[in-house]
Amino acid sequence: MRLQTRFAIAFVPILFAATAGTVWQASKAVHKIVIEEAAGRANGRLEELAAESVAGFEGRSESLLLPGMTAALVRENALYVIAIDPAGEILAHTNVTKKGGRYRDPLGVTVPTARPSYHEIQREGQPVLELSWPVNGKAGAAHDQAEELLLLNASADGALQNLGQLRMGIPLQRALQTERRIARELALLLLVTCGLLLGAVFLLLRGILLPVQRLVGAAEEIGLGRYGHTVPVPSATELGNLARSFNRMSVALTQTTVSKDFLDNILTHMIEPLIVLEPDGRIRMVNQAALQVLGRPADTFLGQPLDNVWPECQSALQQAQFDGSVQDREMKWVAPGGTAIPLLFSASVFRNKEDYLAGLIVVFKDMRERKKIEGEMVQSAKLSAVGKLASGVAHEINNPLGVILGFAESLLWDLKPEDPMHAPLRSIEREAVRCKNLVQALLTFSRVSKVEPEPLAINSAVEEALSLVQAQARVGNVRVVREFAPELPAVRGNRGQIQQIVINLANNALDAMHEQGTLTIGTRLLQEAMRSWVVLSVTDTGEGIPEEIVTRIFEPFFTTKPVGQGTGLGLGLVHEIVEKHGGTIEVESRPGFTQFRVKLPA
Amino acid sequence: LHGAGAVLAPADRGAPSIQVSMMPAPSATFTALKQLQPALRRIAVLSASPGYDGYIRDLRKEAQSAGIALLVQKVDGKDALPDALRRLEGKADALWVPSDPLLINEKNLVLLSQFSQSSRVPIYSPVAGLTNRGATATLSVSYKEIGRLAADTAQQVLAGHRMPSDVYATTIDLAISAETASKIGLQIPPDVHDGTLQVQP
Repeated sequence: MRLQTRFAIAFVPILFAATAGTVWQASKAVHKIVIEEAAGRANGRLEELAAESVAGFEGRSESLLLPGMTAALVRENALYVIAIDPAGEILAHTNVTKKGGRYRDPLGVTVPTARPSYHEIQREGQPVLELSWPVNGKAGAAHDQAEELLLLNASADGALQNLGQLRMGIPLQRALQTERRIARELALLLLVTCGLLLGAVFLLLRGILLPVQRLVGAAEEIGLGRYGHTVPVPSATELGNLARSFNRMSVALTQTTVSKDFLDNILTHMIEPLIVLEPDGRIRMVNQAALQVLGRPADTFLGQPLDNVWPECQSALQQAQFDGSVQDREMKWVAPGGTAIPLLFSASVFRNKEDYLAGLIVVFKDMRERKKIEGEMVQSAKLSAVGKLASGVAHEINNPLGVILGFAESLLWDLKPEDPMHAPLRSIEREAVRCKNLVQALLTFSRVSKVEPEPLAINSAVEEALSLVQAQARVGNVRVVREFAPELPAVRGNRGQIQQIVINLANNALDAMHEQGTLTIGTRLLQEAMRSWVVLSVTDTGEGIPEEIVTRIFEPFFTTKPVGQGTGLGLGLVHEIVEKHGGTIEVESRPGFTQFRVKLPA
Repeated sequence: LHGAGAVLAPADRGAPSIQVSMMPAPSATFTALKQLQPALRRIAVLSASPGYDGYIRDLRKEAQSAGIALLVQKVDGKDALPDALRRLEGKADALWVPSDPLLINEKNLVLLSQFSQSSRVPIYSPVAGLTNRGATATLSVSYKEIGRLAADTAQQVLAGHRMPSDVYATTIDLAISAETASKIGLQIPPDVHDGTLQVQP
């Protein structure tokens, strides 16, 4: 329960009880003052009246008593005035019908007192202050009931005897109304004062408790490992000193202890994908790199057993728990969309100070780039080997082939077409020419390594190459579209080889479009990781490359064309040229769209 | 003289004089009192000065007509009021106090007020202002009305008409003390209120 609530529960009733008590006491005091004031004034009048009424009492004469009594009644606005003898008989009464009766004291005292007194009574339902004042005369002057008189005082002339008493009734209704009004006003004043006091106390409490609440909040933050949390220092009071000490402690903790925030930040932002598991295998934390590779939001992992969301890692986790760690397991993660991502999985357990299992740390690597590089390296090695082989073979074959072709052509000159040897010799010539073309291609392939780079404007080089394929495009009813970016920076390369790239890619595209379609040749500038590239793209609207062969298209002698129509060296040559120029080539293909993108360093 | 406002004396001293009374006409008085206190059956009249005998005689005559028993209580001397009041206790439904200087003084007003409240007997009087001193209601005649009545009477005499020896005003100023009425338990009918009553004789 909050301190303010406790204070309210404890203090408010006390405050109100004290207020009620004060009002009650004050009312009593006011009542006493009102009564005493009224009694004091009326007693003065009664004393005067008593002095004037001695003869009336002595003579028991109503006519002597009434004038003074009625005058006193008018002056004091009294309800009644009564003259009573010591035996209780009414000698005179302002209500004349009461004369001669026995006075009955409202408090039950039949014989009235001989001393001045007053008391509150009720007469006909109204509050009345009844005052009594004794009337004394000289001894012996009273009538024959003198022996009943009370000896009160003595003087030099003789003893004074009580002749009776005067009673006066003062209405208290107005006085009590005034008293009640004072009490109401007082109660209101006290309530307002209490309300203000309460408000001031609550404000004061709030002023005290706010820094305390801030300290509690900051302590909770530190309890959660978020060191360095500080609070405002309110003033130079004890609370201010406490806040200052707390801040010093918090800063000291930051400098001496590794905070949870700090660790969280490291783990969250580390480049390597990482997953932290609870001892029971539920996922406690997944960093950003892991989420990026896995392709799902964090809330689909947190709290889930890892082997539920990634069943393939179950055995690896078991082994890690058994052996303490497991390293470099190749696994696959099926990302949303169905793509299988190759991953290299490692896991190790970690323990607390008591050597109990505290959890598991899983790290993995995305192997896609590595796999790609490995493939490219294999391809490159293949091409290099083919290149060396082609160069040797070409030189060895080229000379005998020249002899075969020369003799075949010479014999054909001499033979008539009707000659039975003419047709075989023509076949020899044709196949020899084909072999010569193949050898020429091999020689070209082998000579790629000898790049002599020069700065060249790629748009003009591409334009020249396109002039060579323009005629073929027209025959095939293919529209050629140029999308050249202006003012491209120069690339360093061999003009002929760059044009060879364009011709080979364009020829393949024209073959793929089967006599109609659009061939788009484009160039553009690409800024990538502080490097500039010029991208040459060749796009066709042909049938596309089947997915199963897309990884093999750059292999030497791989072709889908009929025998005799392709050497299988075109794309291999392109790949070789690009690589020797320090560039990359990539292909994107689907039915109706195939695009080769060649990136050359600018 | 019962509070004579004017005495019309002819040149011939042997001729009877005509007294214009300051009292309201007895018939009008009883009519007004019946309106104030419909249950009024017995009324006591305090009599101290001999000058009011004629007026009391006229009252008695009109009381019979109004069906009200009239009890005349003599107050002999300045200290006789207490005894007179004690004699009246339980014998009257109301008390009529004329504007007799022997009755109307400070002490007697207190005694009358106390008697009225203790006996629950209303006090009526022709003296204006007594409602502040314990009377339940006053039925007074204004000096203006007396003057007007004297002038009318003089005109009648000069015209040769015969006039009674006492003439009374029939226009009465009625004042009621609701507080006193409430104290003695008298229910004033709601249609009766302070103001000028024009009562036909």
